Amino acid sequence: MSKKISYELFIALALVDTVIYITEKLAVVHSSGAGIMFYANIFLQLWIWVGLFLAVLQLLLWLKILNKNDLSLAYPITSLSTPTTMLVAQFFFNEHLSLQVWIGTLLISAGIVLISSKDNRVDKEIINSNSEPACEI
Amino acid sequence: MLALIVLLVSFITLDAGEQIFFTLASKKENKKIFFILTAVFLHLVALAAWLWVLKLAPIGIVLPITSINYILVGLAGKFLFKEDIDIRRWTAILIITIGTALVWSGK
Repeated sequence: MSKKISYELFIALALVDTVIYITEKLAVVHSSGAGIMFYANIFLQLWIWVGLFLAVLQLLLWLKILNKNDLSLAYPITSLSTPTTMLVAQFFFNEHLSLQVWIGTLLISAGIVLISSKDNRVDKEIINSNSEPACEI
Repeated sequence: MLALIVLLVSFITLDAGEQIFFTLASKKENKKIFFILTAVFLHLVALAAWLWVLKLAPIGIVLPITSINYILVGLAGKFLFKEDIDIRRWTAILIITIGTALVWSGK
């Protein structure tokens, strides 16, 4: 794809994803009861409603991204929210991150850089198509 | 074990299906609401399947398996939406699949 990738949308989505995960965690942590009551109590938590509101925003952002980009390009980039959530969780809930998590984070970052870096092949095609008439003359 | 496999495959398929319908929603203006509602419905069914999966197996085992979805969604993009995926993009998808599997299993 020679189209420019709009990074702002992907960064905004990763941010919203991360906040949603945190609100869900907060809702689950504050919910009490056993069995079905536990799930019912989740909906009494303010946090789950914050999360649901953000989910609407998440949906709109995702549709906007898909409107501008290939699914096979956009979907892998959403993996960005996995390490960002882990990092925020480490801050908020003092969760320990193992070496394996850091290696995985490094791989995800490398993958995102690779997939969003400029596609030279498309440029070459454009150059070739431009130079073709010149060759015929 | 068989129930776990069936549920896990269902979850992964539903999750990929959800992305297919979101893509359709972003491309087809006339049926946008229908596609969005279908995607949200698939999401809810997937969630139910996922909660059931978590009853049968530890999250550290099943969550990394779901990262295979990055490959499945890539295939959906290629075959359903005729997206041009070069070797660079496939490599990136593979690296991200391995990366998320490592993160999700390395608690």
